[in-house]
Amino acid sequence: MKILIVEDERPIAKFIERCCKKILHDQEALEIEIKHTLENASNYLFENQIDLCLLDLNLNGKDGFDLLKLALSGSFHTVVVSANTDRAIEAFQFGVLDFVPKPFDERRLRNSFDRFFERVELNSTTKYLSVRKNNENVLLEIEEIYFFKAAGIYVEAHLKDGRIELLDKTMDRLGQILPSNFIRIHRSYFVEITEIESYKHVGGGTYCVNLKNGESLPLSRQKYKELHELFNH
Amino acid sequence: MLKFKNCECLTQKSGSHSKRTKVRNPILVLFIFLLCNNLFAQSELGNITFNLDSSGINLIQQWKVIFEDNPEFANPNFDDSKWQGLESLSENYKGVRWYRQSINLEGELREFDFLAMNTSTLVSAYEIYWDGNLILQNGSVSNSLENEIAGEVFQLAKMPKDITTNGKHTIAIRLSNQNSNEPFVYPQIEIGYHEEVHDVLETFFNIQVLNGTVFFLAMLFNFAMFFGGGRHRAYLLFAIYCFVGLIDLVFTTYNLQNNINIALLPYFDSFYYIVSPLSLILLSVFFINNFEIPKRNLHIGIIATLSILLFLLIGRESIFLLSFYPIGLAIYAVKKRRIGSFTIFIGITAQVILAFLFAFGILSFGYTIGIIALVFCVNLSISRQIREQSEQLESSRLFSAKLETDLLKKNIQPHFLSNTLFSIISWIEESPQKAVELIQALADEFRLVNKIASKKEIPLFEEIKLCETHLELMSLRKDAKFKLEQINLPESEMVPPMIFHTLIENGLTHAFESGENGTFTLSCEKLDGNTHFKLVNNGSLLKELEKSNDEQISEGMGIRYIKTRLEECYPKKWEMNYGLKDGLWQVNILIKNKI
Repeated sequence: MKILIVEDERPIAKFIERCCKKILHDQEALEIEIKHTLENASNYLFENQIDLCLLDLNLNGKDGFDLLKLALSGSFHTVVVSANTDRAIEAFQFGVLDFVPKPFDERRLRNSFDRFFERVELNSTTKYLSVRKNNENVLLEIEEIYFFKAAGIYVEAHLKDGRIELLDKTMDRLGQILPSNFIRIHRSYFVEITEIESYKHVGGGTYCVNLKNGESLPLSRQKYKELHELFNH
Repeated sequence: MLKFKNCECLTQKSGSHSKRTKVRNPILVLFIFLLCNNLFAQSELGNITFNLDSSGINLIQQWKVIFEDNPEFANPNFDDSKWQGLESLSENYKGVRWYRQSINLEGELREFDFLAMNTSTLVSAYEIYWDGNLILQNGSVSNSLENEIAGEVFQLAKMPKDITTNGKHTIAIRLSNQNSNEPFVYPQIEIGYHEEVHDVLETFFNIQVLNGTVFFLAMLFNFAMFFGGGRHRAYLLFAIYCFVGLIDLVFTTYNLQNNINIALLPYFDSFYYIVSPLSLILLSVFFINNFEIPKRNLHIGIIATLSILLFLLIGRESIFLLSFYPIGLAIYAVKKRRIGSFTIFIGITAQVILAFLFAFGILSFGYTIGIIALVFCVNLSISRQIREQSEQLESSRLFSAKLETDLLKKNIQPHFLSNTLFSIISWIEESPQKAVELIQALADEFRLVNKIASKKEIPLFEEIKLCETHLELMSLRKDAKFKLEQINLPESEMVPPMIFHTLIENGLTHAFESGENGTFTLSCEKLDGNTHFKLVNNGSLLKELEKSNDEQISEGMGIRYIKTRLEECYPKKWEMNYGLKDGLWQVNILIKNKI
């Protein structure tokens, strides 16, 4: 597991590192990298694959949300570490896994890792997803999205206006930050629940979901049961 | 303010002559002329006619004179053809002399009235003869000061019906003016029906009482506003002005009801010539004070000098010209857009115009209305000013409170406080000693900030101490070394609080790479009374700013705070700029004419 800590104050960075090491002592191949500046951090991200980024949102006084957009467009999860608690809601809307207000202790950080390892139920309030397009980070409004479809190591976001955007996320990690109105109907699909027109058994162990725009998407057998329960209660 | 001595022409020795002006105020002469609708031709001596069927008051001011004393001069049959005319005469003579003039009475005498002569302008002892009969004796005429007994000012010679028959009559005056400071006397006698002569006097008296009442009430009101209110100087100054106006009126009105001895007139005179310019000076002082007109003493000096010059060069009557001085001051205030100045300008202009209308006999209550207008406008203007002042005070209080809150907020904002606390947590494990130092530094900074929070200015050394504490704290937080170098700092000089602290805070946030050590250099230079502070830091990040655009140094909260503080302490007398110079980030603050 690879973790990047972005924090400009050295004593604090070291402290976070120590906390991580204690919490993740049972993890194999734990790698923790500390970067003190925005520039170093983005350079590092450009060349390295990581699983989790612990990000201080007040980097050198510049708006940390710039870096946040960059971080969120990556395939990894982001936990924001900041003293500016008044921006927590905003951060969650941008799809961060957790927001840890400074100062914190090991116990609080452990909660974030529980979220990371899906040991707790998440109640996501994400409103935007960050997409890297032509070297820029663009925000997609989640409301504008019809459904998500897996495409190799990426995810396609199908928008209501017909556009398709490519997200650098795995289906599982996306699932962790998507709000609850998106349900996973298949290994490869997340659908916005109100867009479902009907669902049916096509025969031969095949199920499908018909969307309001006429499209039909595959539905797994197991999810068929879940959906059936959801709609009949 | 115009002060017309309207009553005096009737009660005192006002008089006009082709060569010398004896009336205190030329406008009053006009006033009198207008009252006398039968003005006698100046040139025709001995041909004065008074029509008994008409009404009005006639002014007799053409006389023949002889500088001798002989009881025969009273005789109507005496030949005075060799006597001198008055108009070509310029004399300095106080002894006994005779004046003669004849008057022709025509028409029918009113049944229930009789004629009267007002001789109140004559000084200082005299006898009036009508066709050789003594009809009025006032004092005792003499060639020497010791023997002359001065008469009383107010004299009305009532004339029995049987001596005012139709035909030619001779008026003769035997007079000496030993007890007067006038060099000579040019008699002016008003003749008319008793009722009318008396009416004029009574009207004046009533107007004077009315004017006095207005002054008195305005004075009481303004004193009350001064002592009962916020002790605004404007009220006191205007109350004093009203007081002087009142005193003047009381003095002049007193003559009308209570006769005084002519010998006392010089004292009354000098009183008037002090009070009149004084009243104008007071009004000017009020304007200067109220409208913050510069060079106060110069203006007072000019008015005083002008009144003396006018007195000496043109004559004492011309002092009324100074009434235009306060109008000038009001115009200046209007031009400078002083609060309430237009109201006062309207008031004073109305007052002067109305006083003129009064003096020309167009509006008999003009003077009264004028004073009321002035009092009203002045009080309106003062109360508007006070309202403005209290609003300003209120907003400046709010502003100061806001600045204080800003200052305190800077230190408890999460960015600073939470990060510092987190640094302490971080240090506790690694180096408890440093954690303790950090706690100490935080406590020190809080103590200092608390001490200065409510102050508008603090001594520079306190500010420096605060900066040093902050740098120590930040050194521990950033695990680097920051220091402040001081060059030539006037330690006891007062500066607005947390200016340099804010600049250093900004520098620490923007200028330094993580782990980079830094030095701030604060220096001070004094040139031509201006104080120039320069704060330089050697941070590496800002050096690169030159290459990138300036977006990142847009005005943040910190800079706004500093600018607001500087403006509060040195309104429009400061400059601030910042930028790279010789590869170093530099902030310059210039305070002009710092005392």
